[in-house]
Amino acid sequence: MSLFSRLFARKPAYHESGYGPVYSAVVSRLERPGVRVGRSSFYPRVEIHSITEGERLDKEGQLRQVSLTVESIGNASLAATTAMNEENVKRLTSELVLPEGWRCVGVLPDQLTDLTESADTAKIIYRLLQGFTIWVERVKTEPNND
Amino acid sequence: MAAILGNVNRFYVKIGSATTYTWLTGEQNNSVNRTQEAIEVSDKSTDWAQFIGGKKGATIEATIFADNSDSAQQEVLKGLYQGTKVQFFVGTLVGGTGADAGNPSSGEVGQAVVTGISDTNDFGSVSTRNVTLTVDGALTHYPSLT
Repeated sequence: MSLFSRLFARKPAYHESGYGPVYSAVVSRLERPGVRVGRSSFYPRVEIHSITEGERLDKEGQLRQVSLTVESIGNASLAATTAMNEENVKRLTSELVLPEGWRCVGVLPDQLTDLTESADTAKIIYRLLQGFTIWVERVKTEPNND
Repeated sequence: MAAILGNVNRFYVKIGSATTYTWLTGEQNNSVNRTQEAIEVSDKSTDWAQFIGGKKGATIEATIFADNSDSAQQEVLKGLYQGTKVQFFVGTLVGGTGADAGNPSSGEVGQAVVTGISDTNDFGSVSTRNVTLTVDGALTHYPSLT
């Protein structure tokens, strides 16, 4: 590798917290044709409603439990939004590959909340909030400073 | 008083013929229980019972996240399945837990027989393992008592 390449080579980011790896893995897993994740005001779309990283589960802080809420938003029908949510569940529970240094231990979907907005003067917006519990393990323990 | 967090007092084992200690990966907590029998030496000359110290003993207990591929956990499993004695240390090593970890700084050193390994596999939780060891022979306390 040339000196130039070594100087400007992009090193993998080191994440001490599990929040960043989970966020990026979830966004890339949910992105698909016809469904945008965040960064949009169009329908249908999916938004990361919230991510909460809990306290460390072991003495070294390798294992973390993350609570995630994913919001499916559509204006076509409740059935279409429900189908979008079910596809989200299928995608997150089947394979979640985290960035280097982290490994997904498991994903469990939990509560589902319907927050459909209906008003006489506006079009109905179908909103479903799906909760997940995600366990992640830090497999890289020290920053790569070389 | 110099209080310390339980996080720093960890359970370590020597793997095979190793001379250094390896942290029992995924440890959540441990407890060291020291005992001494009380031998009664009362006679009719006193109203109150009198005792002298008898045999000493100790048990060690630790709860960890179960990982059958982890070499330190395998050493404990061998203790039960193959009847080998486990060389252990509970406490703080000079240099911490990483590659620089050295000799015991504060805690208990000894060898023990494994008397119990209980795995718990709950829905929606990471699998945990509780190990119980009964100390064989004397415990060595660090720093040494004068």
